[in-house]
Amino acid sequence: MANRISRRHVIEGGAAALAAGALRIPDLQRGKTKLLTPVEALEAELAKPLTGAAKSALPGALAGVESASRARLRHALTENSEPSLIFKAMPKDDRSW
Amino acid sequence: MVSPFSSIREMADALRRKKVSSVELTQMYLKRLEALGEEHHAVAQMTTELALKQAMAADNSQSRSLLHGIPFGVKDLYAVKGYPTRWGSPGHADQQFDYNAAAVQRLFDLGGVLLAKLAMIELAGGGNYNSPSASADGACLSAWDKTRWAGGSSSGSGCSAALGAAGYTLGSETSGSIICPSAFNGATGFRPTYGRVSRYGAMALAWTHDKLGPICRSADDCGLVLDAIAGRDERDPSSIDGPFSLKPLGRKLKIGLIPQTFKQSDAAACEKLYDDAIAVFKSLGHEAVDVAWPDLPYDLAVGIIVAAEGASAHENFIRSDRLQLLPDKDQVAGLAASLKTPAVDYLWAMRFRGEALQANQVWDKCDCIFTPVFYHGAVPADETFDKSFAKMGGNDGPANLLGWPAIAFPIGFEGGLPIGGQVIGPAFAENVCLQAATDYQRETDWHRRVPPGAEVLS
Repeated sequence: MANRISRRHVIEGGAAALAAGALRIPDLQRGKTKLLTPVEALEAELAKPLTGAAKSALPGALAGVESASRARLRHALTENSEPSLIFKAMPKDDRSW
Repeated sequence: MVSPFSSIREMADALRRKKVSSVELTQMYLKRLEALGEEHHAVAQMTTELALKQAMAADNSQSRSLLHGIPFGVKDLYAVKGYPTRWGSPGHADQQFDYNAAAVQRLFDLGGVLLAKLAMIELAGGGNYNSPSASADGACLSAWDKTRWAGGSSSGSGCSAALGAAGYTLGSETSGSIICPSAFNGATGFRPTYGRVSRYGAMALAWTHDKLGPICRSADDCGLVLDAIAGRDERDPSSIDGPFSLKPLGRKLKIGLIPQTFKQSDAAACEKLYDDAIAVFKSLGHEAVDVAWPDLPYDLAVGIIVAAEGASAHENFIRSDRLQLLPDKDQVAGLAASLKTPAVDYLWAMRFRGEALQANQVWDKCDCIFTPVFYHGAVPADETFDKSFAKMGGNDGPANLLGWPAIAFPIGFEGGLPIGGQVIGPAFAENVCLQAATDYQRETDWHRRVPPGAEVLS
């Protein structure tokens, strides 16, 4: 059931994306589509754009995420090591949480 | 004679002998919380009606435990049926759960009396707050100086315990949130091994990091409370059945000392208090040995894990228009940015976590590690952390990442402010932490000092 629902959503989502793309392509062709900055792209995902001090702090906060990405690349991990994640397969009625 | 600063054993004994009733204890603490808690912004929500009802029930029933009839407070991150659970956030003002957090229910089952839900940093600090006022209740002020911050994120828990405004309190820690307010208020706080206490009904900041534990006025009190709330809970898949004992090892301890950088932080006063504390341990027959953990990017991994898990745990809120109700705008930006934590970074951190287990080699050389929490007392309540934490020092290395327990307690005062030390133990060795801290507190009275202004009420 869950699979069917998600497939339907994927199809609907894909159709919506195509429709959106179709709207944007002419704009692109006319050179009108604005490429979003990382800050604008993130703000577009929020219910409303940040304002005031929060807006000013956002570039720094995003830079922090990128900085962490760069920093962790300096520490290479042992090849084929496992993450500390555990998922146990279980029958459908066994999940108690 | 029971005072607001009595230990749990003293209160339990007085209750058993009928020298005091639970209702009397409850009324004393309610009065203090309403007055001192208000002054220090330590209370999120009084639960007066529930407290008096539970106290009356305790007085009229057979004692079920040492905690029977003793009033306590909990961080507003624990769900309590019938009361708001706002997680310190103005963006969650209407939130209520119709069940009790597992730890709260355990205390209720043992005859506990809930006085209040205590102030905390919004969302336990997820997104990296930069100001003491990052809370729906304003900046919680240190029990020792109302111009200073009480620490976070379990601000009200540390402050209320130190003020003698509750018999004991519960806090939580993802990365420092029990240890820091314990240090800033001169309280004693116990962060247990990850999984020791069920997280059911407590706000998640980072599922693989969150630990729930007591903040009290002594190590002995912390042990009693931890003993009451620890244990496996089917509703929290990370809760453990691991070995659990609070009994001392039955021999003197090898206490590890990690390298410190006092001079870089202008921390001569802390250095002296730290040396004095080591001298106390040695005078008790414990041995001090120099140790070091591997130099690895523990803090980086913690930061990535907390960002990724916190972003997921609070995604609905972060994407909503309620996000901007949070007063700390750096935190608003931080929470929004945390949505962009790459999955590969998170998985790097979770793979690194396994590699970091090599830090357990430090336990070949010692039973526990003693280190200052910070090199200075509580920071000013009106300064942002980018300024005030510049020379705070302190280093708990892999302790939070690897879920090691730690107990924080006062080791002296600098300029009227308490300085905290902490004993960190290996996973599942809460008893070792407790042995060191109770030994220390038997020989010293820093933890018995009463904050100015807190003694006038009784």
